[in-house]
Amino acid sequence: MTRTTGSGPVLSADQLSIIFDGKDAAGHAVEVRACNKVSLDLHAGEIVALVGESGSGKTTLARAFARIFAPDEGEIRFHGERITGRPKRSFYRHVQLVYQDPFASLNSLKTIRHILGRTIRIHKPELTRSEVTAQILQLLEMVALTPAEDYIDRFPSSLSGGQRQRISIARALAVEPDVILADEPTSMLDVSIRLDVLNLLDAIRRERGVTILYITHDIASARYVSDRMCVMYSGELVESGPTEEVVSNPRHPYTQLLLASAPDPSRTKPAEPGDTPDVDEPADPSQAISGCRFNPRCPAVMDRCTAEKPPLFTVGEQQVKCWLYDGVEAPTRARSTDEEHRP
Amino acid sequence: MDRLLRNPKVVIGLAILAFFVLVAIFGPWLISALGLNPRAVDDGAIATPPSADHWLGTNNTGQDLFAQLVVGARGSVVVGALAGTIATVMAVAVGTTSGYLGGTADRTINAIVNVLMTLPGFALLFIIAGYVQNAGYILIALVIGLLGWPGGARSIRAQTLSLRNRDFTSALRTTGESTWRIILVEVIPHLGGVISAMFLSALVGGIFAESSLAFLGLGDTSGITWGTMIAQAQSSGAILRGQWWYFLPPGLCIAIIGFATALINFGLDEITNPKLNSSLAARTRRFNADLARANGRKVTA
Repeated sequence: MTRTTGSGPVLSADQLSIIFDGKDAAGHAVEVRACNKVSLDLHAGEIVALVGESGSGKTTLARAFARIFAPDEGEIRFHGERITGRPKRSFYRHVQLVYQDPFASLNSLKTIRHILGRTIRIHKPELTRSEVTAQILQLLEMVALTPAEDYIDRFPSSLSGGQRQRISIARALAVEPDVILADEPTSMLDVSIRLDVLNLLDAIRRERGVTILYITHDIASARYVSDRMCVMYSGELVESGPTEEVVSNPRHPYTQLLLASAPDPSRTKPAEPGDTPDVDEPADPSQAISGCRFNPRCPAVMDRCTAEKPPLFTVGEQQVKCWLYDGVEAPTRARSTDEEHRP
Repeated sequence: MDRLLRNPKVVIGLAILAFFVLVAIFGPWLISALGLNPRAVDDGAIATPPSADHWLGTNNTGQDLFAQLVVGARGSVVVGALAGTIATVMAVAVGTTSGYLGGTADRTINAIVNVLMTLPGFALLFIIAGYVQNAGYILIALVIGLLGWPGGARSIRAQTLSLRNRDFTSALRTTGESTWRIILVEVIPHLGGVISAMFLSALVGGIFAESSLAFLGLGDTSGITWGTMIAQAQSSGAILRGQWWYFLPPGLCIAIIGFATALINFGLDEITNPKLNSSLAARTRRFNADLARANGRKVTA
């Protein structure tokens, strides 16, 4: 494993924006900021959960990390080095993306041997045929598809969703990566097998020291598996911190809303109206909102929120993008947030 | 593959095609083994109907038509197969490249394809064949093939565009797979059905085009193909005199090959689209009828 034992992040986004051409409700061309000045560091061996509702830009962020989208603003750095313009193949040797839909992400006409074997061969062309086969079998065992000999010559169509997702995780592992970007790896799976996949990700982190970005809209699974949690809303990172801190003591009104709207098994009677905060439609990323993007839905909205965009405030171990925390616990402004104001 | 060979339409179509391919390969040897010569003139039998001596009769110069039919298969089948192969390979190469690469490459290729599609293919073929005096059938096949691909390239491009946007191609890109390997190894197998249907219609198109050119006297007039046989029958007035044995067999052979490819295409359609499966539809109808009868009895009882 080629790991530089430095204290810096393995993979980081620095003020990253991804802009798409879109149309607003009236049909005028606007730029859609799927990610807006997001800064996120992934450190060696940690699992970072990225949570947020649909359309919050979490998948876009993962795909920017995987270099499917090129940054429109800002930078992505790998071990501190800018990756723009660097060859992609050597980058994928270290960073791998696991896709959300295991039914779509494997070529249905190819055997498991081909799917995993090609990935191994691309990055280790010096291996012989039998060495590649040995590695495929080893990968299948690692993702608990045993006996591996039974699976190697099967087609994806003869596997269940959970088994296919294991194959895509095995494909990501085939290059012995430093970072795995897991884009909602459990959302297409039956509830009963989600835990297996989460435990598999945790085992990969523990045994191989792989850094994992776990993207999900399911706060419970994020809490189960992650060390650090980042919450995205409408293309922006609104809160981040140690998972337990964020879950037990959410600071941002959006995080509070997200946690309150997750079903709680310990609650026995149905929720009364008013028990859960008003769950409004998420902000359309193409919509221009002045100030904080959450202000139309925020229960604690102030005049300042519609006028000025909040910077990241540090509250305890958490970082929160909300004016409520201005002046609380000696706010330290996060780096280069002076440009936050939208033109 | 199993489903392919269980479909009766595909099996019958393939059997017919295989028969003609065998005739095309071994026909000329078979004819000389039988002691026949398609160019030999039998002075005693001019324009005679089928008989024990001449199984399919003779033409106006007394040449044996059975020998001509068998020998002519090679020319027609070679032209069809070669033209079909060229057209299909071009269509797949251009269509997948254009659809997969997208962007400027796609726009440029698409513009060229659109221009080529507006060219009247047969008229151009007519001019080229007339310009090249006594074109051999290989040249004819080349011209037919090179004019036949733009339509196919467009449908291949459309299919490739949708495959390009599927997660599995994106996943291959993020493992670092090269563009050309993704197109050749991963994407093209998904187009198998479209490609085989395209090849079959291009094959028949090639045979038709060759026959049409020969009929108009623009093909390889010295060679023997089904097209030249029909052309000679027409020019010697066989149709007016009711000498059916002269023009019917080659015409029928062309029609049967067309029929066989149509059968295979229908069969492939049934396999890829279960709604078109006639035996399945019949079974569903029977099941529904039984169900209705059972329900009716229950209501009356």
